[in-house]
Amino acid sequence: MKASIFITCICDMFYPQAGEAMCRILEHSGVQLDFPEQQICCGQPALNSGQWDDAREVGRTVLKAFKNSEYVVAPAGSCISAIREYFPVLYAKEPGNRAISEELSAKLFEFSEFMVKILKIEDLGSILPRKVTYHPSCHSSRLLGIDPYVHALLSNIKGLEYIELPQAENCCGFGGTFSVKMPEISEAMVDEKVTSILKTRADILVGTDMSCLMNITGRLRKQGSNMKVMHIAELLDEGMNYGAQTRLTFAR
Amino acid sequence: MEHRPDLHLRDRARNGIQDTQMRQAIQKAVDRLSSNKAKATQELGNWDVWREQGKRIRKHTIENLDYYLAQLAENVRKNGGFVHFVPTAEEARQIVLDICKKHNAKMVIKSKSMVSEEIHLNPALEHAGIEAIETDLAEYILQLAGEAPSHIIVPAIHKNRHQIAELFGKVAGHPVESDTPSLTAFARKILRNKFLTADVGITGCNFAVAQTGSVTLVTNEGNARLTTSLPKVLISIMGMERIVPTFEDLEVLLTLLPRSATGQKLTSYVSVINKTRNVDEKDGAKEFHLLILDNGRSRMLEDDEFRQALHCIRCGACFNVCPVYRQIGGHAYASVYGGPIGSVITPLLLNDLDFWGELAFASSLCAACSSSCPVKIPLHDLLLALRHRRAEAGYTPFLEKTAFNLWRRFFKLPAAYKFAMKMAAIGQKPFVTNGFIKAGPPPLSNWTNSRYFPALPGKTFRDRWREKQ
Amino acid sequence: MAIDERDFLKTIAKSLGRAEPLTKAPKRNEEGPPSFWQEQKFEANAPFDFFKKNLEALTGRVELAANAEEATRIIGDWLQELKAKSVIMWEHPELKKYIRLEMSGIKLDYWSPARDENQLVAAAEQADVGITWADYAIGYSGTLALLCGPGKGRSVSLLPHTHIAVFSKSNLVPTLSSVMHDLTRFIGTEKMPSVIDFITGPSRTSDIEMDLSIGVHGPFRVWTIVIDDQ
Repeated sequence: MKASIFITCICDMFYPQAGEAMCRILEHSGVQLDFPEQQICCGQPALNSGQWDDAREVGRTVLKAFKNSEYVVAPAGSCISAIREYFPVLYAKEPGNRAISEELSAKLFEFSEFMVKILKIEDLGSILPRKVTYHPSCHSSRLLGIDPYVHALLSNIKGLEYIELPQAENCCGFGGTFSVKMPEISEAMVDEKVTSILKTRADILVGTDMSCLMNITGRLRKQGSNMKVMHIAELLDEGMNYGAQTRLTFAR
Repeated sequence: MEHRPDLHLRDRARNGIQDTQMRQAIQKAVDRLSSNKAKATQELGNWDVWREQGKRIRKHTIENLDYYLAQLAENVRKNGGFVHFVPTAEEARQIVLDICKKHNAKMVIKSKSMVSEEIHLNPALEHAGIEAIETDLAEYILQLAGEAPSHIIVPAIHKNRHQIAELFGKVAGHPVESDTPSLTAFARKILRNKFLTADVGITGCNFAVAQTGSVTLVTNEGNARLTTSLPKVLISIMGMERIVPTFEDLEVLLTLLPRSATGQKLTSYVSVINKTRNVDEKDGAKEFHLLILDNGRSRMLEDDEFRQALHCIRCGACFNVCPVYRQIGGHAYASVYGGPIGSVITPLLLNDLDFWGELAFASSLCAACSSSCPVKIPLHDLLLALRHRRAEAGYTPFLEKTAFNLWRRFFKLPAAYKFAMKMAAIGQKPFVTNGFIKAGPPPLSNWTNSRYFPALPGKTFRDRWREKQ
Repeated sequence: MAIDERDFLKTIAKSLGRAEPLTKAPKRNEEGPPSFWQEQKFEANAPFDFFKKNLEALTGRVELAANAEEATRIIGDWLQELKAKSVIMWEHPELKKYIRLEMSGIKLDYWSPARDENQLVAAAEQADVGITWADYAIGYSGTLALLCGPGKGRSVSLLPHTHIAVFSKSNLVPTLSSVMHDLTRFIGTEKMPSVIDFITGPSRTSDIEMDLSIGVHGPFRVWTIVIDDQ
């Protein structure tokens, strides 16, 4: 099976290791990967600010990049929901691009969704005797419905003690440019999120979107907490190499 | 012209966040209300089917609003009531004043009506020398305090019992105990007297029924029943969208509304007022006036996208799940209609994308509101659409426009993007400690004031991929 | 049609893309509750069981009475319990059949169409207990449906501190659908009342710090007697 990587700009820029963990897992699962270089960003920052001409232009990099891909896998749900829900609206007046975006939506998957729904793999033989809590990112959870896939993957990690995050459904306060346009509100939201995360006394916070995790980590560290924060792919990857001395426990 | 508050959204939000008492009270309230909703909808079962039905009914009604309003008016008149089609708030106020003057009204009692606040009715009545008493307990408290509501269902949630006792004490002329039974008993006594002596009763309208010319009021306290049973003259003011075609449709909305608002199967009182009292009846109004208000709604109706916002049944479920509302409180919206629904309809009703359009940004677009709406209004989509309209109208601040312009130039071509990443990796160096930027220059400072920002690791994913090939 | 109405409706029609307001009833594929709700079946005793469970959960009372003697006795006991000195009652044939309260010690008023309205309201205001019939009792929510009319004042179930409602088991229905169905049939006939009051438990609010308070403007208590006529 062949799949293209849609790295998403935040992972590309700040968290390449999460992307690489995802690639290792996919290759281990028998997927032949490629990385079309035209991709840059889905354009969501501009989309969410109402600057749709800018969003359209940048979004075209994604439309171009995956034209010939059979499957496209991304380590983030937010970008996927932007493409699925809003590209038809953004490109309403560009029938060619609109058609391409609809094709793309059909073959584009968030990582956990791809693992469970397409590859039908829920157990990677991961072992990780740690307390783990999960923050469900808003778009991934509500708009893509990927929570069941994440839970399926987590439940098969041997030794993992899952702790439910209180009021998990509350937004972490990232919201893209919202975090810098309405910083006081964003701070109040991430503060409440971090308070409930710390209450779980988990060793690791796991999530599907590095955008949210970037926001939460930033607050955790500023508050003096060194709780580990990992993308689901990194968690699974760590678990697959558990006990192997060559893998360093991921720290950020 | 609606009065614009002095402060912009961000400052109003900051004030709300700093009011710790209010935030705690709001969070306690919304958590309780949404938990109650979850229990009630789970108990009912098939909630999504009910929501879909509610959406269908509301959509059909709004898309045929001209027909149903005409049917409603015909039936109200057939039953002996008066119907006033009112385009603006000013005309609505005038009609109410005229009715009060005709009946020499000295004191009117009101049951909770957001639309009456929308048209600023109370100041107009006071100005005309008519005492207007709010009878809903929370609205009465707010009237004494001179404050605006902060939540659609529990409007005075930001007030604690000591503050309420103090307000009541001023009315009583002696201290009033601050326990709930004492406070309630005091309000009951004072307001019971008003109910018995008021000249005119003024209500809102939860749902008008076109088929019969009825006005439905959905309440818990009993004040709406008293307002519609004792005074001889009854005035009901309805936003023109607050209507259902038939009694059977009403059942659907009565199944959705109480569960969504408070988690009840039905509120303590649902009154379906068909007409004034019959011959030989000894209570109930003798004269009934229905005011059907536009006040900007037809403008929303015209818009294929925003028309959906008129489906709202004012349940408050979106308030109760909004992660922004729970931090900033209701006053930060500075509008009669706050929360997610208010952020959509306020700029539209007031036809002001510039100042009031800021409300569209009081959101992280998390979509919790859309998920909670009992009639499936896609509120997060509408907030995004508002942002777009606002940008198209030219209200995006210059710096923001420039920033996105710049961003676009670097993010539309791989070569430009790579260049930008290289430059950023160098440019960030003076700010980086231990892999983080802890204090960045503006606008990054908006982030770093409350969070660490990750440093670029130096090589992007695509750099490393390239190297591995 | 008044000018205000014509212009108003024309504005709406225009907003909806029509030259003239719609005057013919628009087609609808379906109306009212989802089909599974309309088609559901209930066990014979379900409406009573639901009603009892739901109203009691709201602090209400539900007592069965086999006949008039029993019903009257229960009310007598309740009036004693409440230390009630005055009662106001609907002037209603079913109620008169089952509740015979012309006894000493209690001031009894009837909401009679022959009496002066101010006197009646004053009597209801001073009464400790208001007694009505209930035209329907809805099991699913523990709700009473009172159709007001001559002799059946709104004030009786509203002004006193306690509302006692009496009805027959045959007045029990499973859901609001049954009532809405009947009301639809009443349209255009004498049977349509000026007001239908759906009452689900006592008056309440959580406006003060989300602390539940019972008995705000309406009654503190809703107690019911069900005549077992089946």
